[in-house]
Amino acid sequence: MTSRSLAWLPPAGICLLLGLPLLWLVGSALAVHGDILDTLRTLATPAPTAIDRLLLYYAWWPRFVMALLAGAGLAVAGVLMQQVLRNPLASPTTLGVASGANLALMASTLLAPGLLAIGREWIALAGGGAAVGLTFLLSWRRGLAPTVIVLAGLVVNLYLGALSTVLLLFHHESLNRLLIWSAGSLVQNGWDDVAMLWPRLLFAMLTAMALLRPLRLLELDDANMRSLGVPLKYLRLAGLGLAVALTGSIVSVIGVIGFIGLAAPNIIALAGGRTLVQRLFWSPLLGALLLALTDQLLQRVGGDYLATLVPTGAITSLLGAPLLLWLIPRLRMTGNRPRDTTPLAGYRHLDLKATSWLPFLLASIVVVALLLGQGVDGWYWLNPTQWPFIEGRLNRLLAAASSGVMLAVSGTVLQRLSANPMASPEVLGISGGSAIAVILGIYLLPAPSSPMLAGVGTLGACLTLGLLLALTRRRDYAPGQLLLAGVAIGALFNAVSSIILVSGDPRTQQVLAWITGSTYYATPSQALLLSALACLATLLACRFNHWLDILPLGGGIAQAIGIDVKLARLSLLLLVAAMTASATLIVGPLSFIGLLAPHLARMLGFTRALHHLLGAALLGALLMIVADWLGRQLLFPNEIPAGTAASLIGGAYFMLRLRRL
Amino acid sequence: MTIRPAVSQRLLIHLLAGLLLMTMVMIAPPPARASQAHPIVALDQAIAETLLELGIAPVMISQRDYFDFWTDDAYDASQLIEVGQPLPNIELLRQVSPRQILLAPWQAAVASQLDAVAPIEIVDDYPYSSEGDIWIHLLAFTRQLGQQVGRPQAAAHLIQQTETHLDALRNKAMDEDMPLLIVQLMDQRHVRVFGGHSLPQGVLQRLGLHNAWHGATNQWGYALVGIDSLFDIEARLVVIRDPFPIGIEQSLAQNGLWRHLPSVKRGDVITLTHAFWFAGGLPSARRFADALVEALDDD
Repeated sequence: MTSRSLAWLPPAGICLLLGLPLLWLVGSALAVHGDILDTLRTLATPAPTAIDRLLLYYAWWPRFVMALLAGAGLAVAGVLMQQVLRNPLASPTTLGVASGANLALMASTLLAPGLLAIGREWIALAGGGAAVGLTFLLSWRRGLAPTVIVLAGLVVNLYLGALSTVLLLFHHESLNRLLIWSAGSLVQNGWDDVAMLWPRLLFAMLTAMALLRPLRLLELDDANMRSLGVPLKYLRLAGLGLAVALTGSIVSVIGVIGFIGLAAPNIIALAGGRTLVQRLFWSPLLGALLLALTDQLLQRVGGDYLATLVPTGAITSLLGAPLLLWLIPRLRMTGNRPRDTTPLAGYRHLDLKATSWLPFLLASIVVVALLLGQGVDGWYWLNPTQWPFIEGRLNRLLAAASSGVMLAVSGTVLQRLSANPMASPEVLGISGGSAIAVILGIYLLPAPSSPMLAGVGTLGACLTLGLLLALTRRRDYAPGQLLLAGVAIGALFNAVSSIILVSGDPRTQQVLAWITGSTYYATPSQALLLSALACLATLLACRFNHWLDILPLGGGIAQAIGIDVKLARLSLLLLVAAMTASATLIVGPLSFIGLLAPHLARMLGFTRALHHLLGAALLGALLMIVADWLGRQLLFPNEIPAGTAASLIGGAYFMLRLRRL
Repeated sequence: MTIRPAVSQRLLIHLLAGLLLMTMVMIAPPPARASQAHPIVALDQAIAETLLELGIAPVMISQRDYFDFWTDDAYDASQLIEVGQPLPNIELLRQVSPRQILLAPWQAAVASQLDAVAPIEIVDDYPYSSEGDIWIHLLAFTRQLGQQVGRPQAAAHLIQQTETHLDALRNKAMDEDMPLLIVQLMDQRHVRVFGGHSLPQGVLQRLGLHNAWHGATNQWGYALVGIDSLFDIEARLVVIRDPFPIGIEQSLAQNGLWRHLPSVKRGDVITLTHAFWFAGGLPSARRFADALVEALDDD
């Protein structure tokens, strides 16, 4: 690794550093129950009678052992994935295992509760396996290339997350119990789960040892390996399969524990554990210590004061995301980046006549969305004189369309600026950062009004963007690093929202309705303001269009032509932050529109910056209007919020595209 | 290149023709639903079930299936209209033109969107937004609702009826002197336990029974805890009826900690056979009292 920031501290030192406070915490926790030797002896007494001993035997010890086992298992899975994908930022949660397991459990709770009696473990494993299968399928054409897999995993995660959200919106009360599990609670009440997990962990370790030699070869590059006759696909499949099975069984027992699988191997690597053997030996140890320490601290701090349970998994994500952000500039990204898709997709030159149908399509969809709807007696067309109905729909339409425009323009600017076809406000986590700020605003401000929240959201977006730039500056804003910073911020957002959701408070449904991005609350003045902002921001972006034509060619060329590159980048990025924040307030953090619209526009032949911006803006508006309208009609009188509907539509399309990437 | 404009023109013509066709097929007279009685909208379950007991129908609620479960199917389908989740469908409301919309304080955020549809009132005496004796709050809540819908007498009657009913139950439950621990099983490892400012707490008080949970609780009067937190409490377990998760009893039966809970060891766990909404009004309180006393009587 390029940075030696931890090289003064060998892996053993780090483990000792974490182990000592853990020992102290464990010792003092046990001391409450009496003599330490005596409490250790309870482990050997299978049927204790005193209540104190019972608690130790059935709750405290299994929880402690489970934390150690799960931490170790996740770290092993992390080492395997990082080795196989040659990507230091691959981890058990990135491939979609957890979100697949989550969705499968939710669906079976609602549709076939009988299945749950057979075994949650199997449902979770099947769901996680299917999700990973999907991730593999999407990246199969590229020979399971590392970055493509991570990207596919990210999209699968977002997509399955959106589906789970739809279920959660309509069945919050009955799915609440699943949220406790999925947020990663380590509470135990017996040795069953430990008994189930340790043989699997042992098996995984042994298999990893057996695969050591071929796995080490994976450090070579693809061409070299092929010439050595290594069956790349199958080796990757075996390594990943092992990691996924291990993750699956851990997730099915204790839910999603974020970041241990990512952090442990990377810390070991930074501390000088460079060979695979070293990492395979030290990482599980460190993972076990990390999780057990977090859990012990949480029990010590949270136990007595909170009426609700704070799941350890959510806390590890909360602590892990900053760690990941810190790691990003220190890591070396190998493996191929997603190719710029320009030649592949066969983009054609713009023929303005050929795209003249776009405004017409937009206009007719606006008419349909304003006039067609469902009511008590089913479908009907509104009479244009029924103003209150039309006014309501117009507000929502304007809000949706302007958010679509702003996301699309932001996405276009980001994609051109970073010369990275995968950049978008959602993927880079700018929306997530803005959403975290707004959630905090809702909970911490005494009387949050919309303008206040808009301000807080913009601040959040600016801070996130600043953070992203600061972190990736040293790598010249390399696409891979930017993407992964986005993953970290996304995980932070998930942790914040899952801690809020776990409480099961009936009010959380309203927070959910907001997070998922509904145009419900759009008022006439808000709709007008947003439209004005969208127009203004698009015009501004268009003013900068010649920068956007030249900047993708690289900073050097731009400088040579006489552009103040720093100024250009900074002003464009500020514009992006403001637009993303305003749009996020309406459609929530996950909509895919900022990714999708610029892509579609390029496919239709809008290649020059000005055309690209305008085409993307039109398409963004169109997609958002369609998503908003469909979301209100599909489950009438229930409503799928526009942001979620958009991510379902956009995500499906994006997965299709990714397959051809 | 020469073909493309033709294609797009054709596309456009098809689109327009399709639109026209759709218009012709689907055109229907604008909605008019003046014939039916104008309902009252109640998005909160405590408000909705109390309204129904005050003799108001139809009531518009957000979700039928959960309402039916938590009210133990006490109300007729004709008394209820669904208005949509997660937020009430405004167009549907406009068509039905309700005469009044009642909101709990925690739902006040939707008020700005709904006030164009019908007059909105927020029930400030909401039992789960204030500290203090829950039973007194439940009564105040019922009275205020009665005022707000113009049926103060029906409210007084409901209060009197419920209190007499609970007094009668109190005599039946007198010989139970063991404190009770009211729990809702969330999964094999976690329960919600009701205490402090919860509806079960209020009912236990009225019945002269003791609640064993004295730990911290949230605004709705429950705490989400691991099963291990119930251990050092000497009490009899009361398990609330719940639609999910099926199969939890079996897995609990094999489960070390659960089997060793004092109440489970003694074999005196009570499982309620009727449902009630934990954040409900007097009707839920009554159903909980009935279910509890019935179960206590059975042993």
